[in-house]
Amino acid sequence: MNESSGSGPATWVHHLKSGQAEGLNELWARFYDRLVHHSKGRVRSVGMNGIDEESVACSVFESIWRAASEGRLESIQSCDELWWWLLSAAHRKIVDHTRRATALKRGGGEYVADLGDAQALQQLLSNEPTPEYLTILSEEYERGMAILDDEQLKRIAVLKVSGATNEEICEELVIAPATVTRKLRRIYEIWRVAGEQET
Amino acid sequence: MDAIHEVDVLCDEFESEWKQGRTPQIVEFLHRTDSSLVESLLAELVKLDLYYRELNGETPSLADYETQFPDYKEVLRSLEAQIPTYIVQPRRLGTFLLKRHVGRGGFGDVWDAFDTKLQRRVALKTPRDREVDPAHLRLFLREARAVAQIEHPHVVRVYEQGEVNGRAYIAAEFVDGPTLARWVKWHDVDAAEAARICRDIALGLVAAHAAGVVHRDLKPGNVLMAAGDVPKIVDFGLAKRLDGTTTIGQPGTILGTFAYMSPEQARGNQYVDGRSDVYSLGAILYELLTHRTVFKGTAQELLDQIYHREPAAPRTLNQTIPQDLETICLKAISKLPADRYQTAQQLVDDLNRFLNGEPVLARRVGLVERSWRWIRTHKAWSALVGTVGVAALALAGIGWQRFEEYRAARQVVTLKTEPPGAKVVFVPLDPRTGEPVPEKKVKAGKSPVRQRLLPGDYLVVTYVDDEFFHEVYRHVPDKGAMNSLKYHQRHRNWEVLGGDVIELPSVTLHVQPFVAANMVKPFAGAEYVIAETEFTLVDYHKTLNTDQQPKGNGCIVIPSDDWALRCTAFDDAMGIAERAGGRLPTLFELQACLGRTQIAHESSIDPNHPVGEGDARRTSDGIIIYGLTSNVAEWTISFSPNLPEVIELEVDPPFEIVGAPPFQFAGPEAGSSRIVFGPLSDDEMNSPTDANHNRMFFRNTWRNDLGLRLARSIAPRFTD
Repeated sequence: MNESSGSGPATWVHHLKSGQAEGLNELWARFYDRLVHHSKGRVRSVGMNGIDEESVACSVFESIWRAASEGRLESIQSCDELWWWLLSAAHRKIVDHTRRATALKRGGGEYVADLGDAQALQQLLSNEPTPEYLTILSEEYERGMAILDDEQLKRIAVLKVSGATNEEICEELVIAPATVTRKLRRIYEIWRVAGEQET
Repeated sequence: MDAIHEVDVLCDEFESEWKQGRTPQIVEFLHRTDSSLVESLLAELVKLDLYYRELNGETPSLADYETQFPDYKEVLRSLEAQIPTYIVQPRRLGTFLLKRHVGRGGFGDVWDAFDTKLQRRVALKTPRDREVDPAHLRLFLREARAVAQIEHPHVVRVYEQGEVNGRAYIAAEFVDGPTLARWVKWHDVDAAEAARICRDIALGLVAAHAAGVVHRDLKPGNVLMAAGDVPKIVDFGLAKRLDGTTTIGQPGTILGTFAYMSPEQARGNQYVDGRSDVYSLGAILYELLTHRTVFKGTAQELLDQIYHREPAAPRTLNQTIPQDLETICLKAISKLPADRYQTAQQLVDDLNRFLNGEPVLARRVGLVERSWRWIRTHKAWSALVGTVGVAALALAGIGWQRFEEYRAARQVVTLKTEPPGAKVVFVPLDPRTGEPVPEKKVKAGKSPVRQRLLPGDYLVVTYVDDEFFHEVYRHVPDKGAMNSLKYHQRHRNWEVLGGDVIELPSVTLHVQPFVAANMVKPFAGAEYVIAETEFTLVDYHKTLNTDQQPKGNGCIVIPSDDWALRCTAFDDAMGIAERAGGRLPTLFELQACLGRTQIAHESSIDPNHPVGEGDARRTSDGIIIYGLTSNVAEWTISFSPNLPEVIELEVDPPFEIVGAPPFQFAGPEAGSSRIVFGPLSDDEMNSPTDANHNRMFFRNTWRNDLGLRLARSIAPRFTD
């Protein structure tokens, strides 16, 4: 239950906001440019206005594209937890895949903790997203969406990954702000458990 | 995982109940889970409960739950960081600190509150349901505006009225005392004390009637007894008008109100004057003297008695009541308004005579006369209701005496429409507030019309059907007026045809405004559409069929066709709006747009919209309204006696409309200023603290940062 307050993506954002990792902004900009560049090639033609039912199944690249075109990804600080989750999950896969020795700490199979500080983020961002990485990112996204068994959870996840704020989700789905937070926590938990089981 | 899931499911159910219009109880949901989850469930449910209660117009506080769940104070306090600060104590509404919920009136909640801006204690009233019918809300605010002018020791002072975050409120003097209805239960009131209390209330009525306000629901529950047993009248017109439950259809629940209601009002006549309040006060005096209401029974019995039965003389119930006071009381509760004191002042005078031991002017009515009067009343009312109908009722409401004056003052007015044959309704505007007074509307039939009207300003509704219509403003001058100065604005013109006949400028009907502006309905239930953008230069060119720029002293050239038109004086704005097929919005209409929108995200904004750039607001339905809080403010049709007037006079010729006669300076006069909505400068626009700037500007003000926005009613109003 402490996933949002302990280590993990939330901590990155915290570090970033507190200005501990100013240099990371540059890294992010390059990483992000690259992501957008890749997503441009893969994006299907989708409308930019709102997320309709069909878009629930849209790819991570469409989400990146949408978020980028709406200016939501330009600042590293605008990124929210689900984004970091996705990136970190893809990153972990890459790490496992190549069996590269890293300086990351490993603890109890909880890969959340792997990327729990600004250094880890730096490491992620300093590696240019390779085609392999992008494929895995896309797979992680689709897998993440697939294990959400509830339509509302899926829509919230898509909206969130696409850069919508909690207020916008609340307005879009006509639910209370507390419900958005609660549902996001469930998504987070579902993904975490799935990650653990895999490890 | 399971725990999160279980809490989530219960929360979904809780939320779903709220969304279906029910009021789910937290405690019932807590019982449905085991003790290990109670804390986390409570925290979630409280957050939802706070959100939906607020959405329903309540003013909830975290403290409410601490009382309800004293064992979970820790949990509840931990929520403070997660919910909006104004919900965490202390409760706030704008600058008001809501300290204590002190009651519920017919129209909503009453709070013991503190105005932090002006550092004073106030009674703050808010309509209970935030989605209150806009028509009712208008009445709520209109009455408050009228009452705000009354400053009298026996009238509860209304300090201000307004809206915060879409919630209307009225801030009034806080009176720390019981209602008269409760007060009498522990006070022994003798005749002199009863006379004194009623004299004081009557003094309050004199002040109210002088301001043109009729209470309509005067009763012991609407009189507060302040320290020193000083009576103060409260809730002028508000409770009565906003409380839709005050109808004949609910026997047993509303007898208190009927017991003090004049016969003409009990008949549902909307057009009652101050003599209706005189009746109600007489009924209060009757009760203070006899300890019973004038009539008793079920609603139907009460109505029957109010119409047809003479009340029992007070002295038959209590021999000790002085004759003179009984006479005053019976005169005040005469069935026919013409038999009562004609003004509250006359009642004050007679009560003072009684208190000073002088002979009163009211005459005792003998048994024979009373019988005759009963027959006359009975016949008169039967005849009125049975045969003569509405017109006769209206006459009875006005009263013969006033009717003579009324008839003498009226002008014969003619009006044509394009196309001819449209129906025409004249709705007089209240000279104190500028709001239409529907009770006094005059249906003039099909155009061309010829109609006798009292001098004053009118909203003229001309219509063929629900779509093809126009609502314009016209002025009927005093009798004997010469031709109007030739303003280019039609709403200020008239022509004397001779023989006391005045012709008003004709009205051209429209199906919709014909300018470029896209008209949008700002929220479900709105009775008006409003232009998506401020009125632009291209709209101006189209409306006036010109390619010239507006000219005005100090006005800079508007750089692009789709920039907001500026440098319009109020009357120019009125004239342009009429010619474009719309009208100016009211302050209420613009505030509702502001209150129901949020700053739109860039992605949803049309990038080609230069009007109000960086200032687009989005409704929950995705409708975008541009420039509401831009650096160009907008004229409204509204004015308020409570806002100070800003008078900026330019000596040089101001704005000119092409082909129009030169500007004539009318000079400031009552009601000659109007409220301007929105920020006036870049500084104000960029101030994040308050987007809701309202100021009263003199009507001839033309500024580089003052324009207009077109509105139009969805359907012609006041046609039923």
